[in-house]
Amino acid sequence: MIVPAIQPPPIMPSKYGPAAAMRAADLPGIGSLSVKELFPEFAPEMFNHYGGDLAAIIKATEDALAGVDMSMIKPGHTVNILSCEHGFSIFGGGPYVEMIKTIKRVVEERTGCKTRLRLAMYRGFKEADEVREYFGLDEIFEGRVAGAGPWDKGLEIETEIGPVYVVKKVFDADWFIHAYYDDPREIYFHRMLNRGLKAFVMAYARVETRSAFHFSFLNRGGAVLPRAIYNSPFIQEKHAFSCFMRTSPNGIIGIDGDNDLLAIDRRITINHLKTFGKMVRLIADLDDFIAIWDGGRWGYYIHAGGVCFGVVMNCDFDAFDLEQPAALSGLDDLIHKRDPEYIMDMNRAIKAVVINQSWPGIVISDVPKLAPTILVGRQNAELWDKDPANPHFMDFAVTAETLPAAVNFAKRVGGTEKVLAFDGSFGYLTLSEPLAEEMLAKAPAISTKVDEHYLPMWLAQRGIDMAEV
Amino acid sequence: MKIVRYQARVDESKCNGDKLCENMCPAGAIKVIDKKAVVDPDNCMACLRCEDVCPHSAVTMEKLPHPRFVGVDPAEIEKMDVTDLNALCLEAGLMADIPMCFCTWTQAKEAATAIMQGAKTPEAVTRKTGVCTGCGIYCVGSVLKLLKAQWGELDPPKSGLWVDSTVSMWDVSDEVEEKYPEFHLKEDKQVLFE
Repeated sequence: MIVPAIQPPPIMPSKYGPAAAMRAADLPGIGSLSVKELFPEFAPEMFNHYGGDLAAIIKATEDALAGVDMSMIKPGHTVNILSCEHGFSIFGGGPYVEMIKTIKRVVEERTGCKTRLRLAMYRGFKEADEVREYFGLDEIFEGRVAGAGPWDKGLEIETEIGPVYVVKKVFDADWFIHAYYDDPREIYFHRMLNRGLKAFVMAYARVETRSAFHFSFLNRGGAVLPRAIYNSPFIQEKHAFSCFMRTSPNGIIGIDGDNDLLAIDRRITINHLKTFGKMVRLIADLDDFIAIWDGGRWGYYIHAGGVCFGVVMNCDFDAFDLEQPAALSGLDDLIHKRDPEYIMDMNRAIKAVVINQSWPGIVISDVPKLAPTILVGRQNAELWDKDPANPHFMDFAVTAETLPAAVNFAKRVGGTEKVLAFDGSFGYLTLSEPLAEEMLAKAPAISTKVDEHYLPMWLAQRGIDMAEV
Repeated sequence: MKIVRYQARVDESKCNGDKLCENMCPAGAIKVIDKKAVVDPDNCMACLRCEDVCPHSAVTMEKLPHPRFVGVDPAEIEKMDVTDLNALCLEAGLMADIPMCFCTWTQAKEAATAIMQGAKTPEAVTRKTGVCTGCGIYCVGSVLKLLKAQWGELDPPKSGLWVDSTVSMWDVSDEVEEKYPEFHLKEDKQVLFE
């Protein structure tokens, strides 16, 4: 059943989030359940826990790049390796950094050019500085590192839907390498349509473009924006190749390099529908549980078995089903006014949320409305009280002094002993025994249902033949 | 409605007048005067950007003894011509009653009222309503669209705080819709207006 809890990745010190006195994995009654016990049919992983063998990542990156054409990069050209914020929290950031380092080495060996690193971040002005210091990136890139954020100088580019603004510093080179990761965050926004292109409308884009993606399109149609940016002459003329850290609920399953980003994206789509499709449907079928946010940036984006909390919160609705117009975008209230069927309801199985460690700064006003929300520690409470993105949050949340106290309270008000920790885990879920029992009992039927009903539907909606899977 | 619980405070001994804070303030509430940043207490929305952007840690946030509420008086909104208000919102691709800022739950009609009463920049809209002071990211496009619908072409500031960029689903041509059937653009528009 469950084994002693696998220790989650450590939390990078940051001004944006508090330290954690205790982790969920250290709670009594909490252990780890292997994803392989739930879905043994998933392809094996190469990396599935913090402290795993990073040499595998290096080798996989070298192999992935062996088939990539780099002949367009000539001596004297400038080359930006683009990196994004969430990669630095997956498994504590180590695998992502090794992939980036290997890209740097291989590109410089093959082309004779010196690469530069761009750290494309969410909105904190110090995020990039924290990452570069923590991972020693200035030393690795000999000082050729720069952060980029949504209010940096913009560059207007023409696309097939009109002009949009990217961040100039991100693309201030002759070539760029899109060094990314594919974990399925925000499925309720991108609906697994061009997930691989999302950075073009988020981390690489000005604030106005990010706003447009979330608020000026519904979530199926919004996929046109990153596609239009990627298809633009400006991007196409600078894109050398892309290299992705590929994941499944099992962990990191490989590194994928290609000059054709859309080809990588198609492979991601197939894999995610096959694997995360099952994990998400299983979580959607749970009766009740307490969620603990336990490390790695913003709460919506912390993983449990590879699935992040935001996806779990919105998984009552099948976001992979493109026939469903239900929207989670800035326009969802527009639809709600017309027809409640279109609104994306929240996962009522979440009976309480314990915030042990995460960063404020993203609108989570729905969380305390969904379930009792308990912060751990006064430092946490002070941070969230100041958060301008959630000005009403502390009117609804309560504070407990310690994690055990918070969880005990959550169990009492939530009426359940089932606990799931979102601590950045892939390959394992950090959880309580009763929840493990429920998941193990339900997984086989979910697996069959996805294979026989959901997956063929999802693939057909995306023009993907089952034979390709 | 925006609830302001904190206020920026500048430690002049650490401030070097570099204007990074001034350039980032969505409400225009912090300005460098005689080489020192000065906070306008009536308009500071405690968005934390000045504190965050300052490389010298010259700005801290102090809790207010009593919170301050920012928003357009509902009575003012009631006085507006409903037809004109709705028309402005629709031209910006918004419905009057929907929240356009999820950090403050400000409805589009509130921002539209502020604009029809004379707000001509995003900063002016922010001072009246508190929008764009939470995450700072997701609602700015809607504000720009409302301003453009009312006043025409926008004049972005040199600071780069915002740029004139208002692309939306309504800008997607029939040709592009047909090029990407998997994005369901046509169906999405029908969902909104059926």
